[in-house]
Amino acid sequence: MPTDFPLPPAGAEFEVRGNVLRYSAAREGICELRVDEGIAFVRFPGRQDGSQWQDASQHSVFAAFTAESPIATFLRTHGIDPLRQFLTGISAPIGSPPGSSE
Amino acid sequence: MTATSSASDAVPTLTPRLSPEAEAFVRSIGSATDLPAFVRNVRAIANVAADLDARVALLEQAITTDVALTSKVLRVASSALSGTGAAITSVKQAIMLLGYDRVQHLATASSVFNQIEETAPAIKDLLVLSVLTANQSLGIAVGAGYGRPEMAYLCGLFRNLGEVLVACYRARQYLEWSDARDPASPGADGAEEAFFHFTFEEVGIALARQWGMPSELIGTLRRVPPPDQAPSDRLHHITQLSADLTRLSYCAAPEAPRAEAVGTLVDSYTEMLGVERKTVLESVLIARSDAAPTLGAMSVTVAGWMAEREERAAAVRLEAQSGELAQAALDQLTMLGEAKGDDSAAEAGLRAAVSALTAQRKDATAFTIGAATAATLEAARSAGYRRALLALSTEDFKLVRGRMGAGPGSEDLVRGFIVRPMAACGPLGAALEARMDLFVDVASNEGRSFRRDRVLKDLQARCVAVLPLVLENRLMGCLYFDNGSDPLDASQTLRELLCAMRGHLVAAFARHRQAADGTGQQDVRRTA
Repeated sequence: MPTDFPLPPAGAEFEVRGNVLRYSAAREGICELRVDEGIAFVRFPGRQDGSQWQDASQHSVFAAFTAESPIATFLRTHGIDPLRQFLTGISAPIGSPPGSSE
Repeated sequence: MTATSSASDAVPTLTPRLSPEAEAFVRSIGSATDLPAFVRNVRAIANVAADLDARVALLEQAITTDVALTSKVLRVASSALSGTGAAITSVKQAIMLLGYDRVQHLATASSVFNQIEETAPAIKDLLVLSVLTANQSLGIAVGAGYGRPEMAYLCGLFRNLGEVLVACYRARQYLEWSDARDPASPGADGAEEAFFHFTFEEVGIALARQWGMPSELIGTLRRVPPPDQAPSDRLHHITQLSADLTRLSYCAAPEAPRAEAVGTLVDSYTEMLGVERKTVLESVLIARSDAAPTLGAMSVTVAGWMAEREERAAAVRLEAQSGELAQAALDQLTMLGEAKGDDSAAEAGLRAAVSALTAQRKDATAFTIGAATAATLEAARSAGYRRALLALSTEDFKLVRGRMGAGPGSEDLVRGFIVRPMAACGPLGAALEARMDLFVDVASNEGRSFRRDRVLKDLQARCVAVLPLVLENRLMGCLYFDNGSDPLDASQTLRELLCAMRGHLVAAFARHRQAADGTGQQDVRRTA
């Protein structure tokens, strides 16, 4: 299932390590983002099961762009393609079993 | 992101102004999609394997059946390790490194998108254009001092959502509509309504609403006239300007006066947006390099895409030109077949043969290479030539050899006719190399240079006609007619009629090739 990522609070610090953007969100703790093949992935290293990369929800991606967040700039310059992701999502909701709605 | 209603629900939240056709289209989105077998298999893994090791093994097995996908997964895994000096050599290693969910997602997304590209060939162009529009919007927004460049990027990216969806979900109809568009004009928004009974704009907006996209983005999906005609917010105008720039820069025919049109367009926005013309024009160029990371995921470069697009446009232009020429040639053949009062007996017979083949061309089953060849060879003989021959090029086009003959001694003619179509190999070879028609009396003064030709000498021919058969700029072979040692006065009319028969024969070859290629195009499109 696509995973939401939080927008960073005002004054949050961002760190880019290679292809990964790392920032601190208020409740969620450390959040990391990366883009592979036009798709955004997110993980929360501080959480118990947070070491695995999950696909980021399109809702969160849209929110980053709408808020003019530095996250949007990072995702864009690293090749995210929300339109392609949207097309793929409506054709076959990724992560959902066939027949179920997302 | 999720749809605001499930697939089985009615869609009452759609705009009430949606036409029934548009509503039917919107409802059909996603519901009729056949998932690629790969996706079904991968999704089933969770049901058949409980522990992670077994799931990893099954996922690895599924991915490694697809070479391109394997390479993609290994590439992503290697990029994750870049700088560490470690190497990823197997899909299993990649899954362990990247995580099961991430690899599964990458693989299914890639597979789904490959299927979209296969069933909707126009989609790649539209996505590239969308990425270019997005980057232009960003550049214009920055140049204009607009405070929300990332939002401008997103709006530019989705500006053409309706058309993209139609190209995906009505792929065949979209291609039909696209092919019928005037290539000299990039077309205006809304022109598609006569064909689809809805506009791209209305279905784009309806789907954007249904999928809960930001309201500002939805607002920019609607076409807005330039600011001097219809003042709107800056984001809307930036998006519209960028979309129109894309249309003029990449979709207009090359002969269209682009620079002037672009200049006029930009000038109508500069005052309202507070941006210089130069800045806007630069944004078009900068967008090409800024689009690189996003297009990289599609394995596309702007330069390569533009070259490929230009190549396709040139082929379409050539096809159209050859179609017009071929139709003109067919009209000419029809006219040639009409009886003339002052024809000699030979000319009248030949004219009747031309007319018969013209009629036969309309019947796909009767008009074959065999029938056209037999009719042509017989017509040449009835026109006064004793022997007639069809010669064809060898596969490597280095030799033209006799294949089918008519008249006394035609078997020897078939065996003995071997010509290398090169000027260095004699006058006959030179004529074939230059694709030049020959009507020559070797005994005459004008024909003296042909007396030395080895082939003609061996064939002991005096009055000779050689008509090259050229298809798609290739020498397919030739027709050869001779009259032994007897003289023959081939009048200009007779020559034209023989050439007309040759034209029909080439058309038969073209039709045969199209049938073999499975293109199903009209024969007149290739036979000029």
